[in-house]
Amino acid sequence: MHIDARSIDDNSLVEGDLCIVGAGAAGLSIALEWKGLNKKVILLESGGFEFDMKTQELNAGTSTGQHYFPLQSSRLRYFGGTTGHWQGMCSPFDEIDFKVRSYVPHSGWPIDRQTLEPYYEKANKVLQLGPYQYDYAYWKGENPDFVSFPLDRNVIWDKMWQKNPIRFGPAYKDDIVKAKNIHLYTNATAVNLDANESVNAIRGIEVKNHAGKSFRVRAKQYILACGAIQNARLLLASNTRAVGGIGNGNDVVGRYFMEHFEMICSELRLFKQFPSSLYSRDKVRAELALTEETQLENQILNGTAKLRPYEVYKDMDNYMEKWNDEDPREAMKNLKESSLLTKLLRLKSRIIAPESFLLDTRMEQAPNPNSRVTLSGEKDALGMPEVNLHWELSPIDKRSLRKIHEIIGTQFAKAGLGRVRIMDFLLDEDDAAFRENVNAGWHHMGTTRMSDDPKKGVVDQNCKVHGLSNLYVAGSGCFATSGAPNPTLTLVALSIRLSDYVKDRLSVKSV
Amino acid sequence: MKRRNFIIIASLALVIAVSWWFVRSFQLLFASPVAKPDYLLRILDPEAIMAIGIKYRQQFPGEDDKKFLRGAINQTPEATSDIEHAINTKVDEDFAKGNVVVINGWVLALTEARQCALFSILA
Repeated sequence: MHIDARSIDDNSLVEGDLCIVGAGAAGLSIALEWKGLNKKVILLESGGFEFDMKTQELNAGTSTGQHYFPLQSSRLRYFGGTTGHWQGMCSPFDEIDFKVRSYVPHSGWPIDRQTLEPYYEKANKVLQLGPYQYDYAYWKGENPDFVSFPLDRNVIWDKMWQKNPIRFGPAYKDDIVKAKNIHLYTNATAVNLDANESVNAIRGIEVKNHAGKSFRVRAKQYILACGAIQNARLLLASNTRAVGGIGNGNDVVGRYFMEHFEMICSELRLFKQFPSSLYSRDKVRAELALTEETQLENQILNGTAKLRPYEVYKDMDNYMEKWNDEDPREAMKNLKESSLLTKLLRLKSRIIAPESFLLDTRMEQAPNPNSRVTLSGEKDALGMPEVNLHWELSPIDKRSLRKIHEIIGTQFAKAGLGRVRIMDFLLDEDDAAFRENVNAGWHHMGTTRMSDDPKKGVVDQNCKVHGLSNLYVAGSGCFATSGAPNPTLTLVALSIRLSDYVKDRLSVKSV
Repeated sequence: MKRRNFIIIASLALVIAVSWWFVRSFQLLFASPVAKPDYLLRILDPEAIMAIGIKYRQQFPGEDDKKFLRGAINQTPEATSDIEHAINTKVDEDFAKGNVVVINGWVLALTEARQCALFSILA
């Protein structure tokens, strides 16, 4: 059922069993799990079914520290969320991503990879990817031309990826709108969480829109699914009863903001062509990854390297420089502009195996408590405080980037395949600073991190906010560490797991 | 001398000098296998090898010596026919043992980096 909140009576009360705030990848993955159940689900979406600049402006904010994308355009605020323009690259986290590593401060999740395994399989279906297979051997069986570099498997392995840039909006609109028990309210922006006097439960959410309407949602359980930055913002701004915001008794909300480095860090020159589509195929492909043992031995973060044909990418502009518009449509246009020559070279590289590649790294950012989201002095059109993002990196980030490529370089040389040249900005081992435009993946993680200890995390292992009996956070904000892969597959898996937990709390039965 | 003639003569002199340098570089590479980083020559030109060699000598000034470098690269007499093979084997062993250096960003075996250094001295 769909209700446009601009048409409902002002100051009305909407009641249900479960309230989900946000209809992006996390919120919709949860809502789909509740379709047809004997519980009333209220799904709040700040935007409508189409992009609207006025609504998008509610994402506006400032940033300090390491230069970052404009906050207004780095997330989409309408039904389907940021899947409206994502690239769709998916791969599960590795076991090491969940573990405590002595050399990575604040590392370790209260759950392990095995706990997420059944949910990964479900997430794979929601994202409409291929079979739930991320093993090289499986894909080699399917594609005989997937020839792997003959590297030492104790050091480097082929991490498989699948790609499907599914737009959740068009893909799941009918499912949601036709579900009788799901009440989707569009143009409904949550602006305040109303806690009880003891601040141990939420008793309602205040909602507003640009039509000047306000209403209140009352439910038994509440899930915030508006993205890592906006979830933190809503918690911090809900400070009427709780000084510093809901769930922020230990000053952790907003901290540990993490991104993924996506940077060309080295050049690989092969002695001769290596014909294989394993590293270049569009829908399924591999990236070079370092084994857990290698990471531990070298005390480095988890990261992978994708092969980019040198000729095509040698003059590629930095994403961070190109994505500089507050309007995401314009920012995307700037990013996608490529010359005819680039297109021809890309085509050529698919036909004739190149001998030179740029190694594009995808690496986790070490958790850093000073990398954080706070409220700024400005207010948006609905009267909600805007945010400031202070993005801060750590010396281990840069050291790891360098070391990963040194290891890859050594392994390619050892296998007699070629040589690697590390880019200049990584050469000075004593320089931990980053250049102004560090390229990132538009991946917002942390800010409501998971930990069994309320002093170290905002949510527990079930994504329930510490100290509140009926408030949960869904999405990559709950990540304790950011892992090497892109976050969407993992955040959908985690959201489906959270959904199961809340079903238990509400004694859900199928109808 | 007219300005035009001067430019022509100067340009010719420059072309000759650069050509001579390239010829001399290649002669050196083929004349002395000890100063010929075989693997690197498959992917780099003499200019890049020269730059690596100079940088290596700056990073390791204690090795900025022809005699030292020759001895460190190769212990067998230069007359040995398969000296090139012996050095390549040593390069492979360097990578296996972790005797790796990063010069001008290139991840190199210590032996081949020393070959570049020797080349830069001889050239």
